[in-house]
Amino acid sequence: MDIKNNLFNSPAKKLFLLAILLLIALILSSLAGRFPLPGLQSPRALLESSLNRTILIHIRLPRVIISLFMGMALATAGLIFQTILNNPMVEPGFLGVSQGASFGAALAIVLLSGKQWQIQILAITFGIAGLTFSIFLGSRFHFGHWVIRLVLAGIAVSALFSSGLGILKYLADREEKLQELSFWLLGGTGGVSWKNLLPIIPVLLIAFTILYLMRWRLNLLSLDDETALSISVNLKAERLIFLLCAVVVTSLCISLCGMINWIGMIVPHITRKIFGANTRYTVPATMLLGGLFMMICDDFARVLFPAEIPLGIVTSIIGAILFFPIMANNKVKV
Amino acid sequence: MSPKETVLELRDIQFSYDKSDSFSLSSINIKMHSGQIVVILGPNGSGKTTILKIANGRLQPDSGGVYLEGKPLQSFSRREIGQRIGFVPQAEKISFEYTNLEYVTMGRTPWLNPLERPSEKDIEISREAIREVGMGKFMDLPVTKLSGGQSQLILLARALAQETEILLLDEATSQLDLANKRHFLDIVRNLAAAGKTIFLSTHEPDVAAALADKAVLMKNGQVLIAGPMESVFTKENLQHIYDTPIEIMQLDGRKVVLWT
Repeated sequence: MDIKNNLFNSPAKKLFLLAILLLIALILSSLAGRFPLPGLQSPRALLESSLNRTILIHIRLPRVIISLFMGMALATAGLIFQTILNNPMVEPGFLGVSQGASFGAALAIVLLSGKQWQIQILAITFGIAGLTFSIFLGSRFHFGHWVIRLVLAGIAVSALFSSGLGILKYLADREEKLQELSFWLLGGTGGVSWKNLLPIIPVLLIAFTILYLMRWRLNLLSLDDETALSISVNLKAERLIFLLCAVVVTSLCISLCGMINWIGMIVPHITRKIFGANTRYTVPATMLLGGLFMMICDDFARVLFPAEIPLGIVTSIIGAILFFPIMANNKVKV
Repeated sequence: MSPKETVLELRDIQFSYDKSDSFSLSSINIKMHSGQIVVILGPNGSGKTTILKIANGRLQPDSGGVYLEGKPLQSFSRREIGQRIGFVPQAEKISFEYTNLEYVTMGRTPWLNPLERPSEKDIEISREAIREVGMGKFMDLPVTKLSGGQSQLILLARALAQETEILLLDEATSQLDLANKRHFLDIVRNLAAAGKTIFLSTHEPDVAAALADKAVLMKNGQVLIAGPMESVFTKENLQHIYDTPIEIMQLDGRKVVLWT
């Protein structure tokens, strides 16, 4: 125990270790697949076969990279929502953001021509609408504690968007659009290629950089309004920056991969266990751990069975199983 | 700044939360100079907290104004106000397990740029503030595990780390036990002796009696009387604001309030 403490006692060292793990996972995930044989590919096979190289670069790599971003986005958004709303029980999927973004994307596929920019703009718009509506509704409920009220409001808003999604499915043209919609709704990184991944990467990188640079200030947004103002926090502007970045990265990833739940809830809880509450460390740690977690889930989804398991199912199984011990150990005050 | 210069002034403040509300503040005039301890004393709901919120710019008065160093408060930026006026709330609800040091270090925010993190110097100032309130042993323990009284000491430490000339304390002694209350009052007296301006609200006459240079007695949003402690702190005035029989005794040159 002592040796372990000496090696990994400082947050910086723990972050470094996490970054190394992420890098290893990135390399292994790029080599993992079912072609030509299930499992890990040897680097030598890559050198020998140009087909193997093409598959790696054009099929596997975009999937690995979007799962990295998706994990970063969902987990970081979860951390931001939890901190700003002073509520350890929320995540994008519990606040109407994921369902809103999905609805927006489906709207673009069914009613518009389904161009990528249309999908993404509508996903972001309805992601923001979902969050706004959930917070508004939660603050209007007169039943129970804030933690519970917000979760209830989020469930209601999510249900609303889910039924909207159902209507869109019903309306969708059976010949082509329903197929496109259903395929996307299953969730997963299968449909992602460089063509639809590249345009969103700059936006994601900008948002993650802003969040990383402002990471210490996220702490301040968990304080009471009164004290935050007394220590010169510009509450409106700073909340807006964090929430907007969180919703944008989440909605963009959802517009490519469909809805994926639980990561945003579980990962911040784990990082707080390891790093404490200080967002100076939990923001980068949540990004790294979220990316790592999602890449591993996607590996399972791709490699485990001959037919791919939808990624959303894998994350839900692992997330829900991890949820029990975390909730039992963490004294979440409600 | 000369010691008798007015650092903070509330001038002709009128305020109500909304027009239909029965509660309102009217004709509030309070002047504070450096090194002075001004105590607002009044029963629950008399408007003490509202006055403090107006004094740090959280609430805008309907008319009248707050003057900081002789200039209207609105002419200062949020950051400039944070570098001059510290605020100690009665309590704060925190859902995450920050260590006391991390929590107190947040008091350094007005001195940081938006993208800056606290430096080693900021953290050392925060450590010193925690030691000053006698919580040195709790440095790395979670703030969520503290008792009500310990939290109040840590909230004071955060305002000390903020290094402001003016400190507003809102019922900041309400949960302290006797030893900690004495310690707290000593710290406040030392701060005033070092030239800081203290503006403290309390519903406890003992705290006012032990601290105040100047007392402001409030009832129902009105200032009943304000002035030097000696002239204001009388049996009649206190009975009037609290609506209950009160005796004041002189003990070792200090006023002691009896109510049982």
